Amino acid sequence: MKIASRVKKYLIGYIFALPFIILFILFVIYPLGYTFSLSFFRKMIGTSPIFVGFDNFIYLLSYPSFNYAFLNSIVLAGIGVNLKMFLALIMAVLLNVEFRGRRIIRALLLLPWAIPMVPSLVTWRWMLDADYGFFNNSFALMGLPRIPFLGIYESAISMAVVYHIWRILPFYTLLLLAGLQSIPREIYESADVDGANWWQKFWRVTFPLIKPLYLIATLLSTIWTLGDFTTIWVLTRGAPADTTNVFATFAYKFAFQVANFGAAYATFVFLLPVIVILIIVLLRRIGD
Amino acid sequence: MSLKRKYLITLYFVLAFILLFEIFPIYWLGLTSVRPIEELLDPQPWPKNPTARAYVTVVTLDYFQIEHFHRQLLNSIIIALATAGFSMFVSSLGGYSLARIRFPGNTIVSKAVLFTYIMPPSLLAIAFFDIMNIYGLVNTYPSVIIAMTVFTTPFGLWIMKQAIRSIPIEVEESALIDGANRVTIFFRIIIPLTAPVLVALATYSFIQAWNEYLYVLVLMSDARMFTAPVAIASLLQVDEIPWALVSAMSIVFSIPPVIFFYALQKYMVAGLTRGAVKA
Repeated sequence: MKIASRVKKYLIGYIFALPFIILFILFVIYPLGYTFSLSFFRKMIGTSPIFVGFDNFIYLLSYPSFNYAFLNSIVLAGIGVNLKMFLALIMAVLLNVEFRGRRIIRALLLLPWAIPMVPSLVTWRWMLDADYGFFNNSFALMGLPRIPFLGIYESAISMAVVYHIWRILPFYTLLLLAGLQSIPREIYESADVDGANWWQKFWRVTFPLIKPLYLIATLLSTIWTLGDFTTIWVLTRGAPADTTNVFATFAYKFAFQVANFGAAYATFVFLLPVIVILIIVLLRRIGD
Repeated sequence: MSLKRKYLITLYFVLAFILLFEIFPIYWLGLTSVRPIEELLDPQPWPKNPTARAYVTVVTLDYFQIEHFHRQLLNSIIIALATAGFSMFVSSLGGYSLARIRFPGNTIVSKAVLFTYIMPPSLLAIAFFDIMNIYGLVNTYPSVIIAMTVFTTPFGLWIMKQAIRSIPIEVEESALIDGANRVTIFFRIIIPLTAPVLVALATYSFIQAWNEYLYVLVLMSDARMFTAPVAIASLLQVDEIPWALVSAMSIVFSIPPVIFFYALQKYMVAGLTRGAVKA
């Protein structure tokens, strides 16, 4: 009887979780496995796959400008994410002080995060326009030379970093701010009693307490930045000369412009292990 | 006193600069949408003769490349509403299961939820297309709705789990003693008590599906099946980009998600931080 009721309870647990489990297996695990296994096949739309071993990977590594996917991922995730998190920490510390207008500033800050990506990429592309954009028009007024922001590799990838920071800085600011606000006031009060100055309080009290959250946020941002497709595709489409492409945009290009699905899957296989490792590290840190 | 004053001045200065950086591009989008053509190239940041012409074009569709824009907005609505509905269904059931029933493997399901939440959707997009293509679902609503349900459910499930855990267990226990079964409890007690969170997760899913670019781009090839963001972005590919029109379309498209976003902002951060801050 006892066992029967326990089995019944388990069964109810599974049945309630079943819709999610089905979605997870059919549309997360299966596509992941599909991506991995099909990376060893030649595959086009409507044809059955032919096993080609490592041909797709060799094709990619000899593809002109494919190495930029690695470089750009390092620039966007390595440099961009750390810059973003550093700025977010400064912002969070600044906003953690009570002052007039704080609520309004917080509300306004949310706007870049609230607005969908495509509209905000529209406005950035227009402001960065080589001939008529706001920046170049302003430069011209000041007698400075025009810069084709999205026409030169170095500046185009930098603008992608700037856009990433612009868009998601508010999110990480609020995340870190929530962390800062969960630090009990008594800790600061006892630091005050010990005569600690502002800087000491930050380094000895605030930062050690916020560090776990800061690391989690950095990991999260790294993963999402590595997987971002929309920024590059709408801002530059990989131009100039395919140099600003990342793994996701290369994969799209191989699948839908070159009609080589095998190469598209292989592109993701370069990125997948990194993402999966980062997710596992992150899940360990988050716990339950 | 003076140090505090100095600190406050620096604070206001830094904040003002970052706020300008964050807000100006959106202001510029709005500005571009109301500027007459002759003024588009002016660098001065206010309109001299604001015009609603671009918005009139959005309403009348009197421009050769945007003939399907109303249909595309409707597609956005259909896909976003359906995603919100399915996401509510999957999240509330799954949330209840994880919050209240300890069954073998529930931690694995928990991890799977977080994994799906963190996983960048772009990594699955090509395989998703291939699989949907095999089943003949490319260029249909269900393909995008399924994709968006998969990617919005983890967040919804997570906040539902938190919300259900915060309901006192005694409420359910007394109902169990009265002979109610789990299904009755779920519909009669859990759903009414978590209604605000259900609304929040439905809104979240709506916004995500409404904003989605990549999966629509990949799964829809017919312009009449595009959603608005794909339509807007495709206008950026032409030689002479109609900036005022694209900006007006962007503003019209952005209004619903921005309003919804502000309505549920406390959940947007809280859902994530509640788990993370503890760590």
